[in-house]
Amino acid sequence: MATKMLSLADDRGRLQSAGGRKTLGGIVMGCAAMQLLEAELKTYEDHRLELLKSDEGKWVLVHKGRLVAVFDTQADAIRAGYKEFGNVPFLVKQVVTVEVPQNFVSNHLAL
Amino acid sequence: MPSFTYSVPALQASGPILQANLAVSTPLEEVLRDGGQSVPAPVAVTALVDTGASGTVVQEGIAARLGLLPIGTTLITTPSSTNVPCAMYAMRLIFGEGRIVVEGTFIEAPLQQQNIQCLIGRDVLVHGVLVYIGYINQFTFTV
Repeated sequence: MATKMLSLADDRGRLQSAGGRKTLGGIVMGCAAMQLLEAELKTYEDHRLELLKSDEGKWVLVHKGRLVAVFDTQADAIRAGYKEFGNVPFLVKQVVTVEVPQNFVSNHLAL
Repeated sequence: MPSFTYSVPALQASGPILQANLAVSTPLEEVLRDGGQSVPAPVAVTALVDTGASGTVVQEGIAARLGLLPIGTTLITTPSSTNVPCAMYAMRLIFGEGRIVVEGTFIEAPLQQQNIQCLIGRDVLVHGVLVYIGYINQFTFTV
């Protein structure tokens, strides 16, 4: 699939616009950082139903408003994401009907 | 098979804790090296093996110290919260004096205990065998 390299400056700009959230060295931390993936999550949700028909269980790579490709494994999708875009926010998500939450039975997490 | 045995005084009170390093993932390290960029040094952490955690969690700020940006999201459910969205990062967990290396996507979230910076969850344990020998304050992890 043809893709174009996107500028790192674009993504750094997104980081700087994430004002009001906890940051370290200009990088947003913790659960607030997932807001850096808002565009990717919207793109995934927009395509989720069609992806479920064709690629349920597989892993999709999304960058900004574009579905880049579908992969058999999470590791392959992550590797492709770094190769294609470098160290910028991108979304690797498994195509599933219902997302099962990660479960923590202890009180170690301050959430 | 890489294996490491930990002796922890007062294992019952402290839990199975160990010293580990968190590093950028291998794919990112390759990209950085190919681009002539420096690779951030690993971050040393005290980690607790938590069989009650379905995924591995790192303390807020560790991803930033590694220069990492999120590559995924997940929902978290704890005794006091339900379906909290959190960011995930591709990292390498290294422990057992470097003998045990696990690549994974780990959750970044605030941890309550200041002396613990990482919860090693069942996404790591799935790769090996954990033996907990309480009466001699030892545990062993083999992958």
